[in-house]
Amino acid sequence: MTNFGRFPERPVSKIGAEAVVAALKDADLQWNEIPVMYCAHSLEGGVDGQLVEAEIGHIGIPIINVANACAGGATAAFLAYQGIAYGIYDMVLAMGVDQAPHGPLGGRQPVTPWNVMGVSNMLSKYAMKMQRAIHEQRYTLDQMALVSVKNHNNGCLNPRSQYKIPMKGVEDVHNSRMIADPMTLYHCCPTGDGAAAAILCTEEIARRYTTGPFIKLAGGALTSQRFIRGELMDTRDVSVRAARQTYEVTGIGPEDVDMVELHDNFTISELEHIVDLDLCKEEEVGPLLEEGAFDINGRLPVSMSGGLIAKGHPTSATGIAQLCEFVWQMRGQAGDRQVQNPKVGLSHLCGGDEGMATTVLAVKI
Amino acid sequence: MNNKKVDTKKDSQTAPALVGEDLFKLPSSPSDKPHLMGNKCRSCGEMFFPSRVCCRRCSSEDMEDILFNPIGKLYSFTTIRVKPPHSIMPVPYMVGLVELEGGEKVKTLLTDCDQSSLKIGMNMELVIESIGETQEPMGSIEVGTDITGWKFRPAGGKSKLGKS
Repeated sequence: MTNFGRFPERPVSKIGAEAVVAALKDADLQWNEIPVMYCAHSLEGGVDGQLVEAEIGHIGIPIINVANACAGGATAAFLAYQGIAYGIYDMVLAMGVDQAPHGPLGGRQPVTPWNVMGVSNMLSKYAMKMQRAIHEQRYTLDQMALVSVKNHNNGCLNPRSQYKIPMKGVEDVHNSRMIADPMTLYHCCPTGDGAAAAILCTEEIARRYTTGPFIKLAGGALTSQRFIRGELMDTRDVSVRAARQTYEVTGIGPEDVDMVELHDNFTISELEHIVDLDLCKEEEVGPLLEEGAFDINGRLPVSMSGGLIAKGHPTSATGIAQLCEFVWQMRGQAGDRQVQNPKVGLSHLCGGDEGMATTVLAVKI
Repeated sequence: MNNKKVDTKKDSQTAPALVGEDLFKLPSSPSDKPHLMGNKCRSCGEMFFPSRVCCRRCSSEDMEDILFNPIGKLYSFTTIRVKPPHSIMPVPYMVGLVELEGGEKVKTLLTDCDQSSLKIGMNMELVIESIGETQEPMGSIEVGTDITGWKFRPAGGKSKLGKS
């Protein structure tokens, strides 16, 4: 993957190509050995995958552009997994790339009554989720801020992170600029630019190129919303079902998971999704966070990479970037943020707003 | 309800437009209340704002138009301090989620209140009024058109307009 950050002067095709070239080098493969590419992107034109190809070389392969907002990259990986599992391809390059303008997302969305009135956007949605969670006494504002402290401090250990802001404590989060009450700046992930790419193949092909370690995308699930009366803010039911399906198809259980990268687009999301992924109960997640269970050296590290909050979130790149993190962790190449001997990683992303695309992918060694 | 008509007379005053067709109904008399417009499934009874092509719950195509009760309950709220894309609202401004009869929720502007007076669960009533001027074309509505949208305010409370 590329560094995540702001590269407004760099065309999205070059950002994407940089990630593809890095993946090819890592796998010791040539571009013309790739039989198919799934390219996820959400914020640009229709054929970014082909523009990436134009930077690296025209080899005439099928290129499938994938859009599923924040879950786009993970959706590309899910499709790659299906293509190989069903025997359609023996190798697939899955990538994600995006370049976002500064400020809140949504500039390329249509002009609707809701957007004109400023009542339908990520800031209000998650600020109102926070307000509601505090009202229901599910989490405290301090606990939500502590997610930011943890993830920003993890991000300081990741050379590819968009932000490397050391946090002393929750006061640093509380004292940042108010965005939408009670949500301050450091409760939010940034927008930004970046790309990530991963090459998936059959075990037979993998053995031709390496003696191991063999890291396996064990399976996953893609869900959209079910009808829940009056639910305009659902990110939970979609996540619960995606996790349950992933555990079913892979035979991996919550007790097997050694590390998690999830959709911490705002701090509240991390707490909710740890619960949604069935890793602990609702009333346990705040206290577990406070005792350090989700730290890199904790019982179940979450967002070791810095997560969306610190590493950054170039929309469609994030899903693949989460897989890159698992690969580096499983190879023991994660440097100062190395988790001790992880065997199973769980990736989770939610794309969209009132129409959700949610992915869970399980990776094991 | 013609929201496309733009007055092009000398003073270049533009006629007020509605933020969206078929989203709300203005009071038809001084004693009438404004209403949000939606539809209801004749098969399962579920109610929707805005109207859906089919029932979101059971996918029935047998839908009837309805007017919602203008009173709802405050589900959550915030004050937005960073201008979202396309929004014409000067920051800061308050938004909320209000639960309507039947359980449907509406994303809405809040008015005639301050944040400290808001309590989750309180009754809110619908207000239809100007939200400002368009800053970019919106469908066939031109830039600079005064536009009318929906807001909620605490029900029965004191209004700056002297009405309740």
